Amino acid sequence: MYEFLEQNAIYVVMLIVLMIWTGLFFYLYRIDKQVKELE
Amino acid sequence: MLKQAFAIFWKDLASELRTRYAINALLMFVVVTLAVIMFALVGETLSPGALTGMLWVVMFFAAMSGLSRSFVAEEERGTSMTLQLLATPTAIYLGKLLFNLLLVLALNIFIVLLFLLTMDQFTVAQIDLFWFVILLGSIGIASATTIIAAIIAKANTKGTLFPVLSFPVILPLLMAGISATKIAVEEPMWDTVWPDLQLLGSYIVVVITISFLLFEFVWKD
Amino acid sequence: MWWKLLLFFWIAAFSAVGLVTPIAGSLTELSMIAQWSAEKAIPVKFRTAGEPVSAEDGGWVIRGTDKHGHDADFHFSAIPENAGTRDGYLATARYDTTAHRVEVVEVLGEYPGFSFPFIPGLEERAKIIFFHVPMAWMTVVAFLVSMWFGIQYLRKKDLEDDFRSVASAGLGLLFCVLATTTGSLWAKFNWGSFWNWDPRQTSIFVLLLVYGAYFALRSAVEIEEKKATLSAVYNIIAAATVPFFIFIMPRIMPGLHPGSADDNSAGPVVSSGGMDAIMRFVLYSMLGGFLVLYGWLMRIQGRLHRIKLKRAELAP
Repeated sequence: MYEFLEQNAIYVVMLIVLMIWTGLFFYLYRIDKQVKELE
Repeated sequence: MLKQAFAIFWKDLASELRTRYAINALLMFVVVTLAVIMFALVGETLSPGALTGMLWVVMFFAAMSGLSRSFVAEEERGTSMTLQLLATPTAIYLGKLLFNLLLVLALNIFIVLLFLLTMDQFTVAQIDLFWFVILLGSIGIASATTIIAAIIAKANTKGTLFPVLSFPVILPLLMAGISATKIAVEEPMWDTVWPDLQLLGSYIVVVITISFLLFEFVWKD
Repeated sequence: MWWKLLLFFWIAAFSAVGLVTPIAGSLTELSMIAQWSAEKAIPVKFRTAGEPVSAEDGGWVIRGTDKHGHDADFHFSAIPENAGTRDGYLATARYDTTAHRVEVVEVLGEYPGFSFPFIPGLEERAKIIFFHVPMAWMTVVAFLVSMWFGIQYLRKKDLEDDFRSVASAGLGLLFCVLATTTGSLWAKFNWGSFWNWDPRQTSIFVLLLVYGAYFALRSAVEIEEKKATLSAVYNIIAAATVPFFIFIMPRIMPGLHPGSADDNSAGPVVSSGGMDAIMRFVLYSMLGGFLVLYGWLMRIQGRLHRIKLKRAELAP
């Protein structure tokens, strides 16, 4: 796994994009929960 | 205003000397910490640079354990209201700052002297620069912790929050202080230590100025 | 509605451009790599100037020019398709220092219209700049906005300002965590370990601590007004001391990030306005996109807050 990522550096960047998406998704999920409480 | 500030300073000093609450606790803290460090270091050889880090750790946590007293005590005794009526916020801040400064300076001089006496591996290459950095560091610690202590005194949880809030604010000072002390301890060169001294100096100026501006909001609720 | 769609396409498009645009070096980087490793092939782009000629060892040689206008012989092991009609190549290649020619290892495609520069040591990993740097900048922006509303609260004592300050701090915490995690994952592959105590890593760590302390302080105080005042004051104190980290220390201390004090080899990435024009354009577009995203999330939080207030009023 580590060697693969080291050889194909673009996948490291892809993983980073994925992390950012996860973070934003998590934030959206929390807002969604707050809205649900109001409903 | 200065008269008021000195009055508060004397009041704090007198009450501290009477009860010796902070002094006793701090002395015990320092002795115990140094004993633990020395116990762990028996037979080890450490570079003066590594010991510098330990010295600052002891100084930081000693300050953390004692400095929140000055404001918390006012709240606990219920005297903060009276103080609010009698003195301007600026005077109160200045008085507390002076008291904390004295406390930190005395404490740090004590710690450093103990350190120099007990650790034979801790040799200082340029002693005047070393003391100057300790002096600057003490002023910095006192100025940053005074305003944080004021915040803490108004919050409900007193003990645990103080280091949590202080650490990020004090960290620039710690890093510059450690780096400058290391230079003074290992190989003193004025041109390499200069950026650190500038950082320490500007840090103190910035923190004290901002504290003067903000103290009023914390104090009057 | 339309601007939200635009925002989505904006970020998606520039992310795609950032990820897909090929990285292509020139003869300069080829000869640089050849000094370090004879085996390593890197992507290069070149235009051909003339017909392929057969070489003694059975391969084919085409005269080619790189993007800086330097020319060299490019050696192919077999004649490439449509060799005469193509005007350029993107290919992985290495420089053969004994034969003084470029060995083409694999043809990747046509000469790309635009590409990112090949930076030795970073290669494809240079593309992190479009995702990681906006996160770090947004952290600082959110922090400054939070401080601004903290000041506003102290001036006007309007709880609305306090709410904005908290919302911005929450978003700042999100971006801060993202900047830290993306950065340390990248550092593992580029610098060899997740955490190196580089000055900029230290500064983002301090910001993380500040956000942590800020929310710890808020949860420790019960009364709304007191909570708002104390956290605003703390926010301003932190904002006054944190610049030592973000703006001064990374520049006066030696470190690994571009722009550090001992940095004279950063190459074409960020060294004092020397970043490649296309990269800079994509980076600033991403920054703009995330700035608008931040504004949008702030607005959603604000609306949510207003609904909550209304609820509280209506409740008996």
